[in-house]
Amino acid sequence: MSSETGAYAILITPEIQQAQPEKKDLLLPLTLAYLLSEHIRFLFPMPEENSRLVDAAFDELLKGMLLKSNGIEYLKNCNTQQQQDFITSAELILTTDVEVERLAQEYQLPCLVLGRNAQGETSVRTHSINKIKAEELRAQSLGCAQLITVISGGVLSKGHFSLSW
Amino acid sequence: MHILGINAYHGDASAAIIKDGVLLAAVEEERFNRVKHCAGFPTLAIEHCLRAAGVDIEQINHIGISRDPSAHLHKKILFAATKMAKSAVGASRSEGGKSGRGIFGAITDRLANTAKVRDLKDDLASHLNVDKKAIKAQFHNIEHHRAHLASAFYVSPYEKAALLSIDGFGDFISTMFGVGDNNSIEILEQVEYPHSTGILYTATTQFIGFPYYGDEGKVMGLAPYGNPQAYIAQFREIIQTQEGGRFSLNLDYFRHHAEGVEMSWDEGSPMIGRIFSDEYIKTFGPAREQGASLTDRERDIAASLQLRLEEIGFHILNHLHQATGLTDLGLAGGVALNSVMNGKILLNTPFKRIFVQPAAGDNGTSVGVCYQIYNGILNQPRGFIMEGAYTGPEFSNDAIRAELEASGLDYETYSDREVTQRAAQDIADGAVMGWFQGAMEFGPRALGNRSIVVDPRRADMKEILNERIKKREPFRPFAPSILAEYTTEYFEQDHPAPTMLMVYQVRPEKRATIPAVTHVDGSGRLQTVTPEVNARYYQLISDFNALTGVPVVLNTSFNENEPIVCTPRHAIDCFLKTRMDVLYMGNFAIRRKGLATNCINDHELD
Repeated sequence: MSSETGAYAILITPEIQQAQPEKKDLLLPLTLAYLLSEHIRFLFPMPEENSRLVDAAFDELLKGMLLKSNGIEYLKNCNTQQQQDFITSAELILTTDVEVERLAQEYQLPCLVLGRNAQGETSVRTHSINKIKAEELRAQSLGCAQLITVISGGVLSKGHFSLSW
Repeated sequence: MHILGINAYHGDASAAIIKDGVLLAAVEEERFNRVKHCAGFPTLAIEHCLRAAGVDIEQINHIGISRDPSAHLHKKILFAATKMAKSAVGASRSEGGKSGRGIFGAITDRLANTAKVRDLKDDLASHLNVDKKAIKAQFHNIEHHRAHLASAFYVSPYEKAALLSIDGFGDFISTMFGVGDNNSIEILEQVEYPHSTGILYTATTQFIGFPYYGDEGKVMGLAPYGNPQAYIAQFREIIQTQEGGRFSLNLDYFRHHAEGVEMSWDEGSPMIGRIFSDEYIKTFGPAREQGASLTDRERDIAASLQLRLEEIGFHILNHLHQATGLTDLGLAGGVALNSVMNGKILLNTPFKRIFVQPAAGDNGTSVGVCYQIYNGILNQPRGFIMEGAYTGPEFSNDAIRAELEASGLDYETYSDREVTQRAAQDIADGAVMGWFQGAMEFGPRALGNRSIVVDPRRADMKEILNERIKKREPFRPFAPSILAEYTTEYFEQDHPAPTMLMVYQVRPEKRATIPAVTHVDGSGRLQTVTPEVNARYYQLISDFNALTGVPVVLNTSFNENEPIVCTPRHAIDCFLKTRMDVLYMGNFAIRRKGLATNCINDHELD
């Protein structure tokens, strides 16, 4: 486990902690982390034995992608306390974990939470995003949350849609 | 257990209902509201399904819709981000590097103008005028192509089959194939936005000057008049095969991925903006204006497009066979309505048997939704086979008589045995006959319950039908219905085609016998008729065969530039406003006054 100093965001997914995680559960969180990594370096805690699966997921995602990235660093085998320390010092938390969401709310940490709404559609909840210091990252985080909520809810409005979506 | 399936907010909106795995009803909204390919919400179709099942919406256990916006979400997000990143580079250059909007900011600005998040339960309660809380059903979003695949497998006669769903787009995917095995469907491969054979066909259809939703069939009918080699090199440049049964469009020829193509309906017929780019014009010359004369160029483009579609289709299917080793095939999706391609599958691939979902377009996804829930999700046993497509409203003789009485028209009454004999005699005498019987068909084809039926032996019948009723482009063929046991005698292939989704070659020695249903290339889009699936229509053709020695009739849909008729009232209205000679509805018939035995003379209605 190693990590450079400086501002970073962190991706926390309970799915990657499982003995046999499924790649499909990682695709959306990894996509968002990758897109937001254009503006900030990401840390991603995981058990070492699952890093190959993450590599495979990234290989699938990044085929033909041209976007810039500050990188996503694998934090292999960090313990609970270390992970909590990384979380509380992060510029942005991206997570699917409601426990991490509670922690972020308690400490008023900037946080994007991938979850499901009442209709079972994917949605993003945001907390304390206005505390992100970097203007572009702040704007991207909000735009990203809105985009996912809108697309997963369906962009087919009554009487109009564009084939470009 | 009742399950309601819905195709909504999309062309050919429809609803279907099953009870304990048996399909009770499936119908398109257009048949009720009389708007062709109607999009929006299928309120009337849902109401019909509930009536047919004898239940209220509150009694439905599961409700599903054939779209899942969450499916492939990461791909949609990445595509949007990549696209906007490219735009941002352009904007940055043009604005001196001050765009500053970021990828997502620009996207969401754009979406905010058009997007309204849909909630199916809200819409259902509102359209059916019930309290939302009264709807107890569990709701399901079934991904578009999984619904197509389910419609091609769970109601097929096959325990295990290779499956292909192929269309324009749905939930970011244009083509999906896999294996159906008892109660599960495994996806092997999919082709994602923006690559699509459906988009290719629609773009070229627009370029040839047919702009309306569903006009692709016209191009398929035009193709046999052209030279398929004339532009095949160009089409092989426009769409290319890839390994693994995949393919890709040369995106330089299309606008949908870059500029977007708008589709609008406002509860009416869908309209699609221009899909082809200026590269089409550079390659083929100016696009034909709608209504301009057709030239050899358009005929050759249509022929080359059709050939290329078939090449791509067989490329996918040969890979699918290789990957699965299976010889039974289930097929659905709008491109599976290309009956010319379907008819060549057995000749160009190792598949031995094919089931094409009768409503292969998006209308059929409502059926797929029901069975994906029942068989795929709830793991209930399979058992229902969709042998025909007679799942729409039907009307008793009493109901028909009441409508006839209300119309004030004179009518005749026949026994069950007499009605087909008398109708067969009328056809043999040259009458243009409306034939309204039993339950209405689901899907685009009239299959002998809402049909116009005439004598196929007369070469002039095409012109007579077009002049009097159909007003179609003269290059479009009319189709034959044939007693199934005579298929080999008249056609070069004999695989059953009960829902008119296969085109076979008519045997050369029979072409002169049935000229009205033999296309310019010697083909015919046949319907094979059996007594088990449609007893009265089978009897009608048998009676015609007894009179003429020809076990074939010409069958075209009962309509005049509108959706196929649904009710007796629709049929009477169509009879009155066209120059049909006789209309049989149930055991009744109405005739134009003064109609003699030689019906082909024009007789104006008194």
